[in-house]
Amino acid sequence: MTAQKIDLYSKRSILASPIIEEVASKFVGSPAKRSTVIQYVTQPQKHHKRFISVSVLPSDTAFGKWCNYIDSLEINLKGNFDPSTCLLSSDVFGPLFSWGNIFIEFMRAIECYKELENDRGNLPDISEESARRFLLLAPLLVSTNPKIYLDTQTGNFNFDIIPLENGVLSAQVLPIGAVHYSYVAEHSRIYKITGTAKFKCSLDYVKFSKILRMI
Amino acid sequence: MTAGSASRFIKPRWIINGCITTEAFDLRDGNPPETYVSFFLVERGSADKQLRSGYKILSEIIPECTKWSISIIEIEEALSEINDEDTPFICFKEKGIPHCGLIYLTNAQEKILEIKATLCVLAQKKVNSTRQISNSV
Repeated sequence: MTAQKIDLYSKRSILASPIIEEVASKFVGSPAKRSTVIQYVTQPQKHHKRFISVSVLPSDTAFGKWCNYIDSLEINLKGNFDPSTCLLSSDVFGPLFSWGNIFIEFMRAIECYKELENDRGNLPDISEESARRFLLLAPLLVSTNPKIYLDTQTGNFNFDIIPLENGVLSAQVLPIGAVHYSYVAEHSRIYKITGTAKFKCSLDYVKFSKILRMI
Repeated sequence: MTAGSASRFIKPRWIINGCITTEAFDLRDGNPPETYVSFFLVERGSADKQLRSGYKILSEIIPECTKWSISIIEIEEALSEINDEDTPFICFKEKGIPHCGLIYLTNAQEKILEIKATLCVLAQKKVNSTRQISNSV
């Protein structure tokens, strides 16, 4: 498959709406619910709560398509960053970024990191492989409202999910097929569940849902 | 340092849904790279008194801090909760009182993730926005 690009300085398409529609059709079986999801991805604010109420995980087929797309992307996050001229404002990326706020947050994380780099200098390069692997996880995180940021020691993508109880699930997406995670919360006292999920194949990233079930 | 109450100043973007995120305890690289996470010791007393004490310090450092928040961590509790294996993972050192620094003693990212998540839970116990604290002064 020809490599496609996430190039911050162009408006080349990486995902077209038919793909989203096709993936959505695998996520949600009935046409009515499917319509809700498709409307949601084109009108995120209006349908946000409805989408969250539909608790779905991608089927293997849908996730396989997602993986194929993400694996074929050539991600370029080097250089200056101006979201007003690239991904967020581009129509062709609209379907992608309408998947909840997750892609907006993804871009914000990059923007914040670039600003920090300008202020402080000498930060590690953003790990493009970590970005790719974060995108693999993105469909699993849509309804979790994660806080996404870049680790200034490694340039890897981190995300936090705040569960209902007093706690936090924090994770770091490594560029080498592993995700460190730590879930810390309070019951009678503070308890911690920490580990590393290792995935040798993009398709297996869907199994990170087992970690998400902790919350 | 093994005891005392320390305040951490929380930027707005480090909070999501009213909860502190692990980014608040990130050690920033850069030029020069940070070697510790900054805290400021506060007066002993009730949570309100501690938060007001933290606000007094923060407002002197950053006068335009109306959108920030302040959290209080008990150093003894943090050391006890985080240094729970054979070797310590963090320590606190004076950096010109009331300034002090939390130093990570490990480079293992998995462990640092756990430490930061634990700090989030601890910091969430006593936290308030500077706007509300300033209204109560």
